[in-house]
Amino acid sequence: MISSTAQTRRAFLKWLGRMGAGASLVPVLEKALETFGLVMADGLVLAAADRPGPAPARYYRKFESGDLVQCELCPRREVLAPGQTGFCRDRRNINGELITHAYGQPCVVNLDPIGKNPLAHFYPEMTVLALAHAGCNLRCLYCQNWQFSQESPTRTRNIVPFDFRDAGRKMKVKQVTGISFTYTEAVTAPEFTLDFARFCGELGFKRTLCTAGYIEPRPFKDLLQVFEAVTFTFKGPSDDFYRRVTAGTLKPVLEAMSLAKAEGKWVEVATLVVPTLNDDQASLSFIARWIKDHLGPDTPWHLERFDPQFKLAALPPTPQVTLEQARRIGLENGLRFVYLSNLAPHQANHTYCPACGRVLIKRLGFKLLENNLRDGACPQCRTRIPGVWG
Amino acid sequence: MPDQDSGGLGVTNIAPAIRLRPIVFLSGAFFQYGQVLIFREIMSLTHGAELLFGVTLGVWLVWAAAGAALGGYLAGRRPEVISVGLLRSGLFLAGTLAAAQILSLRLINWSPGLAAGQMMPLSRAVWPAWWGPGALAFLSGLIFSLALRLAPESEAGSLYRTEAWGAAAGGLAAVLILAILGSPIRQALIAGAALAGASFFLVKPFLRPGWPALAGLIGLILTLAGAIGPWDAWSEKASWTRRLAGYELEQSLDTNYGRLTVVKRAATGQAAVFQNGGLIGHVEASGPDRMKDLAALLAAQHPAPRQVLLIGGALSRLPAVLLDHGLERLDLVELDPAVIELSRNFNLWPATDRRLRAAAADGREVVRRAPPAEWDLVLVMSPGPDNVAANRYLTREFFSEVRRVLQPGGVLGLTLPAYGASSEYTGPALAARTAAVLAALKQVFAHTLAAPAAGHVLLAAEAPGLITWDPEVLAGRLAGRPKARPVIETLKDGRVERLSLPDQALPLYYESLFGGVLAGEREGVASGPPRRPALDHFTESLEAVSVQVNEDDRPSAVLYSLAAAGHLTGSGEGGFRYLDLTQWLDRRLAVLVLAAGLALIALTALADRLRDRFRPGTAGGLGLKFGVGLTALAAGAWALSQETALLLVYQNLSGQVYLEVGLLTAVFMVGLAGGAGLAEARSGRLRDYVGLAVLTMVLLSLTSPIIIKLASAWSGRMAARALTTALLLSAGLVQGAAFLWLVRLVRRPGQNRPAAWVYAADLAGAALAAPIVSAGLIPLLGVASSLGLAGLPAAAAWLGVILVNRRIMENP
Repeated sequence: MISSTAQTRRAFLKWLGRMGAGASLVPVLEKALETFGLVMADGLVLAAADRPGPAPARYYRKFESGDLVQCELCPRREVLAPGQTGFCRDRRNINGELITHAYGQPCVVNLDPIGKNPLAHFYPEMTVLALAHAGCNLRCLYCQNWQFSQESPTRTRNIVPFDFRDAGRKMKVKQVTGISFTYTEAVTAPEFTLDFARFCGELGFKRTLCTAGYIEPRPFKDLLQVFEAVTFTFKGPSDDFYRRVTAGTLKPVLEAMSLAKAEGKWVEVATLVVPTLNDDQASLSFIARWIKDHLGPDTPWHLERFDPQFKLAALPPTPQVTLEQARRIGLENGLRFVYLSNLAPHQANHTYCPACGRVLIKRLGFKLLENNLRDGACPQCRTRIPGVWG
Repeated sequence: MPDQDSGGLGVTNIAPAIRLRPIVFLSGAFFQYGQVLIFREIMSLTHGAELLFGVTLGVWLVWAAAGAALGGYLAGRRPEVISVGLLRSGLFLAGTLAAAQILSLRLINWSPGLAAGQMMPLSRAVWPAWWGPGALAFLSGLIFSLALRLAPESEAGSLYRTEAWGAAAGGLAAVLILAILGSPIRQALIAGAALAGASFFLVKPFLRPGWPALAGLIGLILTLAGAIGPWDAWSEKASWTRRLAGYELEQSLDTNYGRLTVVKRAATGQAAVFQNGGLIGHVEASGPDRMKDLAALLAAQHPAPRQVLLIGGALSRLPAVLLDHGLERLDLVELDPAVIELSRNFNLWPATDRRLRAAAADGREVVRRAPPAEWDLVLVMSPGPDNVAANRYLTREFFSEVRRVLQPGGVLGLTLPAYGASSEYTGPALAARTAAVLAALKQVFAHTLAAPAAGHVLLAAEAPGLITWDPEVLAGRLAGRPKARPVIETLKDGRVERLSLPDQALPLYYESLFGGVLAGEREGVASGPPRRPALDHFTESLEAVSVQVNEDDRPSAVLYSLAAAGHLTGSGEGGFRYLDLTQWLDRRLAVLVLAAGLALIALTALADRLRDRFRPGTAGGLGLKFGVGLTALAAGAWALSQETALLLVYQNLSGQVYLEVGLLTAVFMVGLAGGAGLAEARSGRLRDYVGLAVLTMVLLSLTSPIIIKLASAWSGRMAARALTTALLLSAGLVQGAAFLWLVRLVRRPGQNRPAAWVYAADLAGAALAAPIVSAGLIPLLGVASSLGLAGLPAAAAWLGVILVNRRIMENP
């Protein structure tokens, strides 16, 4: 029994020392657990997945000193320390080299009608191989693909191994004539997107991209070389909207759309009309005017209905009257082809001749019911309809 | 807490003068009542899930423990006059604070920077859960510990008992008055005025002249303000204006099942209805009829449905469009009568169609009481298993009941929300939730199907060849129902033309439904059934996750739903980490329990030894206190584990506990009061009695799971409910007796202060147990195993008793 205060303090310090020594064993124990597969350095795991290693990334620069790298793919231009992953959850600095986890790691491979892209004036009868990998460089509050866009490719259930030649062979067998990078942001993994799109081009497939356009001009220019058509999601009218709702900015998106047009690609634009966020007259007029002024009045504009989803689950859906009003705004601002989608049945699902009003392409949702076009023109008044009709 | 003597003040002379018993009774009742009001407020603000309920309950107990500790500390250092003043002020403050707390919950912006309609992340929802109960809970602990300090030595047990009776009365009042009045701020103001006024009159000998009149005036003003002021409407309007900018509050209604809120947007005429802050329906003059598509998908699963039961979905046009499928009878069941009333006000159903019979009832009870083979089709529109009440319609037990009421060749269809997730990919959390429900269906029905359409749709049938996703088959069935046939709109000569889809286009309609998940592809030459990649991928996603079957007493889907919610509202990682952690725990549970037990023994021994080493000369006293503290902490944890688990059992048996929660809490409180009374009546070796109480805890922990299993198996559910209630009462009895014996063990003549820290330890244990049991153990292990696992705190209490015995032997 210790009987004096001095001894007690000494005993206390000794005890503290023992505790400290014990605590220092924790990392050793952790390492042992890691070795046995019970934990992983970045968290607990359910099971080891069959994942090929990451691929080297392009579009970054190394700093002269240290292992820091700066990603030059998107306007964030993030500087990443070793071991750090980018905002997109895809690109990572490993020992001073930038890698991409998404290369050859699609988690969705689907056969879709082209109308789902949405592309209304580009080979309307085409079925495409739609593919997507996890990760995105935006954080849209209403993202419909949140289950994989807001996730790292290392955590999704991917369709691997993804073999280019095998995919191409199957597409031929299934009479698929095009591919579409859609659902998530293909521009966050341009290495895979470029390689696979180039491969498909060599086999004669049409290639389309659906993107938010939040990318730097140099990589986007490279990407545009391998696509024939691009759908841009033009989300809102201002930087403030982009910051609050998507965690991005507007200017790079506008530049990307202009660049695609300048490169001669077929461009269509889609806007999700979200109550209270971008459904006012001023916002929609701004978007419509910008499309007309910079992309041309023949650019199809798809107005999509919002449904309560992801982080906006407590926001009511877009009423039909709002969408119809939005369509009027588009037409009044000089756009000739304004579609309503995610709203069926509705007369604005179809393509009409702007001259005589005849139904040219009749759709049921995004499925094609009738195509009355004759050589890309109205069979009634022979007005040429802008688009790539094949 | 260091041991301090009060300095020998004559507490026994003061106590009778300030009439402590009525004070303690009234405050017990008021705080219980206030707790219910504040809990409801937090639930309506944060969309109410078990996790948050557990957190809020835990927070209440932590604040109360802090108040009790401070009360004990202050009372030990202040003359009785000041203690009495503190008591009076505390009561007065409590009376005025309940309404203020509710107002603050509504008026403070808890989630600055969120967009309109953005769900509050769980990480932020914790803040109102911390703030909401704070002041009131703190005062409840403070007041009780002050009262304990001021009471004569022999009165401690009696006060504890009286407080429990008061709480029981408060719980009952919450059931009776809430059901009638509904207006929370008004109720809080009126009840608070009564307490504030009473505080002055009951502590009369220490008042200065004129104060009673002042107190009376304040009480009167509060009462009048409560009675005539539009506090609820004003504060709700302010809250919704902030939460959903651009929409106007039309109506806010407190029902027995939650808070219903109707908002409207003048520019579009669209109305939206929220229940406890979650969107449950919307109405607009014209718009896409998703319900027609859903009805086409579900009703076509039966070749010719005649009698259909629809559970949920009242606040939509689904009942109306289902009738278009040639039904002879549609029984619509919705829990909350106010929802049915709203649907009627919005003219969502055909008012004159006699085939539609709407009833406000518990759908599960309706199924249980129905004769066999009553319906061709049973449809469940589930809001998702976010909580145990909603999960009751998705369990193996419920599906067995449904199988009994389905006609031969009948079909069960149910929908689960997917929070707008696209059909192309289903992540592990959402897949686990749906897979747990599908696993329950598979245990009951011979044939099941699942698809990512309109959220997630699950189908089940006993007979083969009925349920299908084949567009050709579905189109064939729909073709014979002209009213249900979809239409297509086109513009012709400037006018809208609506045409029914021709037969040949119907398969295409099914293919286009809900994102094209039914679309098929053929490999090369068309032969055999086509592959459906989206469906295949979905099925593979469900099969890829390892899940537990969703059952009544093991609501695993709730756990997975919580993980999905973490992903939905948080940064994206939280939900998966939670899922990973729970699955990891699940696999290693036996080892972990063993390790926890050993660690508990080691820590207890170590802490006991350290007490000896660092506070020489006081080992006996401190050791005894440590033993008592540990026992009180563990007993508190045990009692709350029992209460939480038993409330859930009751919920599964009776339908819901939203209304009865006050009543059941009252039963537990009666148990506490009874236990305290029993303990007071006993004389003899206290440590033996504590040992007896703890032994009873261990025995109850071991036997409760068996009793609950038996109760669940009984067909006469009234007896099962009675048994559950009796277990709740028993838990209260044991806990009440243990607490009082523990208090008496460390009480010295002329000093009651130890009761305060014993009380604080007891509350701290309870605070720990509430969230762990409600959000972790029950969904992971099930109710029965959780009740069994409550043996762990009981064992800890036993260790405490051993320590107590050792110290008493050393220092008799």
